[in-house]
Amino acid sequence: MLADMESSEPAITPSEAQAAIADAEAARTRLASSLHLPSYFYSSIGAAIAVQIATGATGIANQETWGMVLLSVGVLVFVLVAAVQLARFRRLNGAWLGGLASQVLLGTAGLASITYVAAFALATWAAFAGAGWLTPIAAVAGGAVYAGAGRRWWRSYQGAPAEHSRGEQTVVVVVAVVLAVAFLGALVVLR
Amino acid sequence: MPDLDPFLQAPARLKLMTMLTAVSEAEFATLRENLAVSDSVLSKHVSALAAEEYVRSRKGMHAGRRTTWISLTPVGRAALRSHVAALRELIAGVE
Repeated sequence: MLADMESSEPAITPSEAQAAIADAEAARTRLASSLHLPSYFYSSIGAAIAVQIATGATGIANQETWGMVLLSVGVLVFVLVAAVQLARFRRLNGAWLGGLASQVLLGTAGLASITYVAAFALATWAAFAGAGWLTPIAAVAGGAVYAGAGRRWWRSYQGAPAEHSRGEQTVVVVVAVVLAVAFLGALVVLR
Repeated sequence: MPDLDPFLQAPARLKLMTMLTAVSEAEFATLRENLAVSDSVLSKHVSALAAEEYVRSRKGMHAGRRTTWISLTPVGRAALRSHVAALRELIAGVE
């Protein structure tokens, strides 16, 4: 009889439920807080983006072979810096964050995307218009804001790790890479 | 009222699953340190959750040594969401 009564009660009391949720959320916050970015993370990403914008804009404006080489070198520098920083993050923390890769490094966060496109467009226009002095300024500004957008994403992640931990879906990243490669291919073919 | 998930009632499992929502993938040792449990305890929980397809584990390398990386599956994410909703309803029922 007593056993029947006990079995009809919930297996867990409301106070136990509250404690279980609080403990689990505290563990998640602790894990997110224990993650650290590698040294020179933002500065290296900002610098790599600035180099990529400057070399890309100059390369597009001077569509000789050396221009395409310059453009490719800029892309390569960025890819190398991003790969090294992601590997360092993984090694340092024993964890992988898709959100860090896509939002911070690939710039899929709104502010980073808009800034990158605007800075690249301005730098390219300046290179075509003979205002070469403006190209490095636009590149450095683009890199700085890009890095700032990454810093902002990191703060958002620390505040709500579950909402920001995941990156873009693979299909989105693949489409972006295909479009970028197609754009570069078109530049080479049409020059 | 959604049912509590019997596989997530152990506090350590709920913590483990909730921690995994903060990352895309975590190394075994990282989870063990944050959960403050032994290798064997974590290993048992991971095996039980992997058997239900709540988590995925794969062998990989970390700091030059072989290790195990663990991540939440879509099935596990949905189960966790449902379990936490059931817990919240249980709490709300007495407030």
